Amino acid sequence: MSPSNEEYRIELKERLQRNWEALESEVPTAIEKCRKFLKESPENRLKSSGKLKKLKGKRFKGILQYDITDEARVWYRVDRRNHVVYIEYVGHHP
Amino acid sequence: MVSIVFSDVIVNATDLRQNQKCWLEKAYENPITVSYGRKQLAIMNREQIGKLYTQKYYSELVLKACEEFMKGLKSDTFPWEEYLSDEEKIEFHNELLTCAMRSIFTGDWTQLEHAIEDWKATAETERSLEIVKALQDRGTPEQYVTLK
Repeated sequence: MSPSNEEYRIELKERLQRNWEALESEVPTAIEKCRKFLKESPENRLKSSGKLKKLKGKRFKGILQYDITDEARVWYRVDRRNHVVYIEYVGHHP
Repeated sequence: MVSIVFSDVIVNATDLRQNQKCWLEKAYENPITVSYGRKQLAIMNREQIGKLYTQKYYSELVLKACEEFMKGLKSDTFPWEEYLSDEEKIEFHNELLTCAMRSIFTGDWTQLEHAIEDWKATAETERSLEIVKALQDRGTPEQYVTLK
């Protein structure tokens, strides 16, 4: 099992690459902050400065949301055992 | 039946002025009321009054939301609630009450605040079919690429 202080690997759905890259151009500082958070402490509410939400209900079990900006969000799940963050959607908030 | 929920010591303004330190020390532990003429003024620990105001705010919020829900009204308190399914609405209200009851005893309202934020994020996510579909469609390992 990976040590708890190891950084998380971030896996992104291939078809979302363009959304991620667009945000990297639009809001580079915010996306870098997001990447750092996902790598270091993707489940830590205290370190998220209020940007982390844990979705509720059966449909979204295990899905977390991080507010990149007021308009952009990333939705992901965490594989604690293997220290991987799977990004399920990234883009503008509905 | 009358329940006494607030009891204090009443002093007049002259007593307070003459024994200021003594009364202020007492007020730090338990409220004192200063009466001058027909008016009364309470002095109490600032931290305690802060907690009481917070408790009042959240208790009213939860009670109002629950009343709206029980009467089948559209929620003014949490307008985003309309995007939740019926089952989720029940779950949300049960969690609100559970968190509120716990917070009243502990004095810590963080858990309730987080529950409200989480349910709001859930409701807002439900508004986009595209996102809902993406979240329910757990990809196979080949569909992911490692972010550099």
